[in-house]
Amino acid sequence: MVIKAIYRLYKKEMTALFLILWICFWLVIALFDIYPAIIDWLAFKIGVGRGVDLLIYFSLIFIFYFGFRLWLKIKKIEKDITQIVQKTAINNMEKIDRRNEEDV
Amino acid sequence: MKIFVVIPAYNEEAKIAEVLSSFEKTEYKIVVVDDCSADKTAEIASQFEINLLRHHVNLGQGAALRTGTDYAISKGADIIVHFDADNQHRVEDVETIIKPIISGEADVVLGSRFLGLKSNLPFRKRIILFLAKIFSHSLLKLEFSDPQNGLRAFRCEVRARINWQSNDFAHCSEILGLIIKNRLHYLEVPIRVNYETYSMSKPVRPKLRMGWRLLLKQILEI
Repeated sequence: MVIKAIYRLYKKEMTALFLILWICFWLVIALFDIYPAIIDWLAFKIGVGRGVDLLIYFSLIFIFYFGFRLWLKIKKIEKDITQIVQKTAINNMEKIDRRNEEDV
Repeated sequence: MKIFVVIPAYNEEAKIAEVLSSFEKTEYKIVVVDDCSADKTAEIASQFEINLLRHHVNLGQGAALRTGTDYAISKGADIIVHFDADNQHRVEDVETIIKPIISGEADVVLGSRFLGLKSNLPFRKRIILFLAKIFSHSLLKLEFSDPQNGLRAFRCEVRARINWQSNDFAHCSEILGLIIKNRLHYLEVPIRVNYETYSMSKPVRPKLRMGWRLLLKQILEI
């Protein structure tokens, strides 16, 4: 997974910052795998209960956050597409109008 | 006075010729916005002496009306009329709705199917429009007799204040909301609508999801 990410950076499909974050993410996952007691300790400190519950809550927060960001992005893209299509339609019509005026 | 009639069209090859023929003897400038129809709507419309704008991607009636309206304003329109492409509206009613604007009585005039004049409105459509009216009155606080009617006219000076953003059929309610919000002088006038087998075969509007979106927008603006 990390090698694939490094390859993507080489192909300029990914930024260096994202690669660093990606590597950190998998290091944290590996740490929790090797030392599961860390999550339980964290959950205890926060007052959540079990370590697994803490992981689920955090996962839900991330999913909702990224879902919301995606929704915003899609709305922006829809708005941009609308503007492009409308401007193109009007510009094409204005070209025809100018041609008709020149013919007259 | 320059009066532009904006007709958004999507897959209306069956009726567009009839609609445009009915405008031939009038002095109105016609703007047809083809919203990326899959049929021959644009080809048929191009045979008439009109301004034909074409969307390369289907955006929705609200977007098509915005395109046509903005083009009309760039051409010096004084009054803009929105007119459906499926032959439900009558050319005679355009004269009815622009009169109050010309006389200075109103900034915006809205056509209504429910102000006395009889239309051959089918029962199913009556129920749907009745429910849409209840929704508009009670939840969106829009007290209009026919909130889903597509025949309307307004002075071009108020276009900046009727700046609807919805691309789909929700633009009807959005425009009404903007009229109220911006305290524009509006009038409702009775019009007749032609319902034929063809128009009955078209998908029903309004759709429920548009209503929820408008309601959410209303709540968030409080």
